[in-house]
Amino acid sequence: MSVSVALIIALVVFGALLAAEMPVALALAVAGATGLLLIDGVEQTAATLASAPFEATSGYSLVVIPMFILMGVLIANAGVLSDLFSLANRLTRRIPGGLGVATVMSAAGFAAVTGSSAAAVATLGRLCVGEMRKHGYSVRLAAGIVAASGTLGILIPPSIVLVIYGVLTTESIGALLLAGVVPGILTAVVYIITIVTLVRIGYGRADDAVRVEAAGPADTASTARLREYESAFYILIVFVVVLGGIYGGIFTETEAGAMGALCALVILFIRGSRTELGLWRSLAAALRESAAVTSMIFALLIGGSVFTLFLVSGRLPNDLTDWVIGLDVSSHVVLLIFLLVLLVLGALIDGVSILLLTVPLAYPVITELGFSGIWFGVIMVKMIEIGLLTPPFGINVYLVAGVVKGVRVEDAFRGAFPFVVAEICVVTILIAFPELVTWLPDLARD
Amino acid sequence: MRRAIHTLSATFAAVAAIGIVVLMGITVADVIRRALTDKSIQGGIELAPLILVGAVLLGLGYAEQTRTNVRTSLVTSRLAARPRAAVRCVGFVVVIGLVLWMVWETADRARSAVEIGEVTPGFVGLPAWPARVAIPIGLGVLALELLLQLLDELRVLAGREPVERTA
Repeated sequence: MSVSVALIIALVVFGALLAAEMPVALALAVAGATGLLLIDGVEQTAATLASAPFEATSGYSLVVIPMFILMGVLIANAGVLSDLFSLANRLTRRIPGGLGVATVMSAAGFAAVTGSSAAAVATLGRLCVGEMRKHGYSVRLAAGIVAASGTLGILIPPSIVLVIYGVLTTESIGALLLAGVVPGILTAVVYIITIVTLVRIGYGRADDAVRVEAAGPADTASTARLREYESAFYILIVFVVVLGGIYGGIFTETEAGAMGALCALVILFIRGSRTELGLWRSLAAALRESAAVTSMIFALLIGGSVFTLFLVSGRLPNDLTDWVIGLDVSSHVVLLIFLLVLLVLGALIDGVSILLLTVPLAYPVITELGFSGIWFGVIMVKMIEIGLLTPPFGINVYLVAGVVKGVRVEDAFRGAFPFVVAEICVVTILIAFPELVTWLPDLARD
Repeated sequence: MRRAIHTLSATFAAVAAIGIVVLMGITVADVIRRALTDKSIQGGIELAPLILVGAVLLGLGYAEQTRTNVRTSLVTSRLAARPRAAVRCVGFVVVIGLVLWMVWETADRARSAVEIGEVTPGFVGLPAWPARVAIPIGLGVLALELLLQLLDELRVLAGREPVERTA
């Protein structure tokens, strides 16, 4: 059977299993195995299935993934995010749309110690949407702000998506993490500008005049303030240990992740007794969640590796690269086509699955066209961020609607729309000025 | 049976969680030892991936039990209960088939690893077979969790009340 027919059948199988609500990891594995069966036969497929689980999980460089997961989950269970929001809230109360700005700032701070966006969206959703509603923000703006703020978690290091991109492409994971810093900050700044603009033109009717009163007596209590600064200090420590360690060449990425996880564990021990669940329950919940999330990510890697082996076995990445290089079009047109594909996929499946599906095909083409692999990794993450906010799969939007009563999915999608436009602006800036991405990793290398 | 399978998944997840903490401990200890003596822990780099394999595979059942595994209900949410159950049944049969095939193949690989006493390449040569053995066990628990969900869908298909998820 020809490879292209096998690819079409494999993609149909993948789509059918996704439609049947099967785990994406298993859908990828079944699709890859189907493709392998069609072009290589039973024996080769059996050999792939026998080796894939070990090969896809036994690299030393992969240890960084559970370390970053453990770090993020421990910090999330230590309850620092609510303090961070209170602090940001106090610092921004004189700015128009200050509550929205505070949400973005606390999400950016939280993103600096956790590599995923779901925890931030769930916590900020409960904390901030009600508060914003009290102060005149429309439901759609409040939900949109929270959904968009949550996307910062997958770009600002430690980003698990960037780590997986590094694993798939063998680009330096340390360089990728450093590359996410400036675009992450830029995105947060553009979000803040978007919020202030929206509030000024009356989109959200935020009533900032009553915010001082709304903050209540707890805000002025010195113990509460002390706790806020304590949380900010913890986050700063973890961020400095992880990023400073990588930037300064003191730690490898894996070691930085382990040191960050150790810091997070210490923070949970200090703060645990003050959390809702208490120390030991918080710790147990964090460890259970770490195990489940680690297995979930690696299941995707195992399924993805079966699918990639099918693609490689059929020489699809090479054939695609040769075909694209032979086209008489500008490299930026090819890039634009890839970005559009990512945009469509982002609306259908999650970020890690997108990487597993597209990186084996897109990366060789993009690097062959002369683009930096590090830069493309960040651009891919930006497109995945947009996917988190766009229908029908925009997972952050569903999360906000799921955790906050009275928020309808359609309102949240409408509220997220201005931030999708903001994201597209940021992507355009990063394409026009790739140095914004490569500057920090280049500096660290020098 | 449901409770026994869930308990098995949760127990393996606890082992996986301990494995992740041990990974952290080994890596941190290596950093400290290197800072103090300029030498790494012998075998640390070989041991970490083996623990990782065990932690990942043993947590698979629990990830499925808690619905942590990523999936989309884009299509199924638009279907009525019985067509939805029918579609899911077909999906579960296919993915369970693949997972069982993987159990078979990886168990065969594990058996030969035990027989030949497979060790990691490198100076220290740690036994790799425990990690190999963890693979079919973890995949087997995943298959059981998927099988439970298939039985639930079959109940719905037969017109009986759906089972409430506890996880």
